[in-house]
Amino acid sequence: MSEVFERIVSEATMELFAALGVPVQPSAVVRVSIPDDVSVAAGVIEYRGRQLVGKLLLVSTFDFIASCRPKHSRAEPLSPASPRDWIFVRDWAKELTNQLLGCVKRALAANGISVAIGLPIPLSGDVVRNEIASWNTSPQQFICGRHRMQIWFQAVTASGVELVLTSKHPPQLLPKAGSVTIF
Amino acid sequence: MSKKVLVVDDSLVVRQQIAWALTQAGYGVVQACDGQEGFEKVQATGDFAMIICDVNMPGTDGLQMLSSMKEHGLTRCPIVMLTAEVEPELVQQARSLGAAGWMVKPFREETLVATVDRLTRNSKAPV
Repeated sequence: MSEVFERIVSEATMELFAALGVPVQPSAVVRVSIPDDVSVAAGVIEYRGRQLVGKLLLVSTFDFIASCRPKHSRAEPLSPASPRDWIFVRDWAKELTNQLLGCVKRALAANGISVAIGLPIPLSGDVVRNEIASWNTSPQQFICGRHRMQIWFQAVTASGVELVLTSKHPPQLLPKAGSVTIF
Repeated sequence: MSKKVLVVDDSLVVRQQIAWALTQAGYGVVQACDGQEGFEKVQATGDFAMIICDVNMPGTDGLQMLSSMKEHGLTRCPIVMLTAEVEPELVQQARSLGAAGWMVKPFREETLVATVDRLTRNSKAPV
């Protein structure tokens, strides 16, 4: 991941999780492989634009995804042993991925780069391990207490296009997360 | 009887989050998991005080639902799009299809309730 995209993804991740009331901090990647006894959940989502195409993968544990659900839901503990609880965790992993790419998209738009977002797909179990194995890049890692979360971001520029990130469009002109525009 | 709000979002957790916030504020909530189900509920129950609708959803998305509602003359109540999208073209499209507003995820529940309060102030609860 280039330094510019690394910064955009890092800031977007911290913005999203701070808004959810679960602040995360970047940390060095110390471990990518996931032990077999750890329940993992993930979301993957593609994006496509004239200048840029790629995808984003968010991976963490069942426990962390469950712990950053909306506040009123957190009081109800979820267990990886419950198929019903997996429905909530997979759904939230998918939604987190969608909202994270939304934050990234806003940062890209602030630099004059427009992309269309696809539909997020939830992943769990061995499918996550297989997905991770298919990426040949390193993730960024974030920590929140004892929890770890890893984000992979692929960005491929269109052939012949030289991507120059600037602040041509001031970010304050774009709708912010949580903002409401009444027409 | 409380004012009814239709919540259309493919995420179960988001629907529950909105339903919880609005129920606490005294609203009745009806949920739909995509634009098709949302459209069918609007057709079947014409007395929603407001609709909150996601944009990117599998099957019929939020803008397609809005388009169908406009085509059938069903855009009578305020409709706010609640989405991670900020694409100006999509915002314009929603506006031209009759949406009353655009809210960006992640959202604060207090802001959502304040928006619903504001936009439903003049609507009557069903008898």
